[in-house]
Amino acid sequence: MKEEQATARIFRFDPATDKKPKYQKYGNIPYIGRSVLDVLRYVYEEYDQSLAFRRLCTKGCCGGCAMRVNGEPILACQKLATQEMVIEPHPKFKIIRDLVVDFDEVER
Amino acid sequence: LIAGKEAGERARGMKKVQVDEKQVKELRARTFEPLRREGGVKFIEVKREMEEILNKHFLLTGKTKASLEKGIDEIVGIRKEALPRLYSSVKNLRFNQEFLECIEAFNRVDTIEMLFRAALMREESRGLHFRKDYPDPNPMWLRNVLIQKVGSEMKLWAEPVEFTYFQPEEVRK
Repeated sequence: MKEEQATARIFRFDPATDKKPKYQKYGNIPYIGRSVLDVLRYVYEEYDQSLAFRRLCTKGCCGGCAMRVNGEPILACQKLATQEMVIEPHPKFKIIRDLVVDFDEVER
Repeated sequence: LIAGKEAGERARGMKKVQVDEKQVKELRARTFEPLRREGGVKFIEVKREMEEILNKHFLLTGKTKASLEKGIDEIVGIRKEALPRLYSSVKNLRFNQEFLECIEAFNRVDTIEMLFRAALMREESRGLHFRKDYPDPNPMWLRNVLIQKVGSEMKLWAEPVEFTYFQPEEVRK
């Protein structure tokens, strides 16, 4: 049986070159029983190595993968993936690239 | 405070380490080479090959002399063929995950080779280390395997374990 596949629309923005952010769509991602972070890693390995995101402890301790999925702020490593996803960076911080934001303000 | 004082005094008595400029230059070149290269092997491909080697030759219960030697051959093959052609398709220096993983690849190959060589040297079974051709623990191997880089080769030797609190006989009782 073929596993059901998800599609994700992922926020892409490089402040150095792009004027405006854009959303890129990736399909055919196995998602059942996987976290959002697994989905991002899958996209990175299979489709697009230029996708930037933080993948640190993968168990909900560090908060490095804080982002917004379908408008809801979550930790990507803890949130189960759904069939339709819009993945965006954390809205409160400055964007470094794609889903990576500048957490320096927290540390201060 | 005492520790800080001790550390400071000890540091004063130490000699400054000389940095080997040639080595720095070589490492720099090796590190940034994947960014300059326009084509070759991607890290993902190398990673899959490494996983394949470990899955085939480093089984939990199926390790034999032959399989470990085969594994060493294959990982040395990756070191010789894939690593010098490693490239990062993303050239952006801002949070470039692929470039980071290219740097990692060198260390991963080193680690896997050490794993294989040490397992090959330890001709016994102990804990999680199970050799099909030597299924029993051997008291001769109450030793730590140490590995050192000599030139471009790995030098391995075993040193007896220093037991500070318990002796192995006591624990077994």
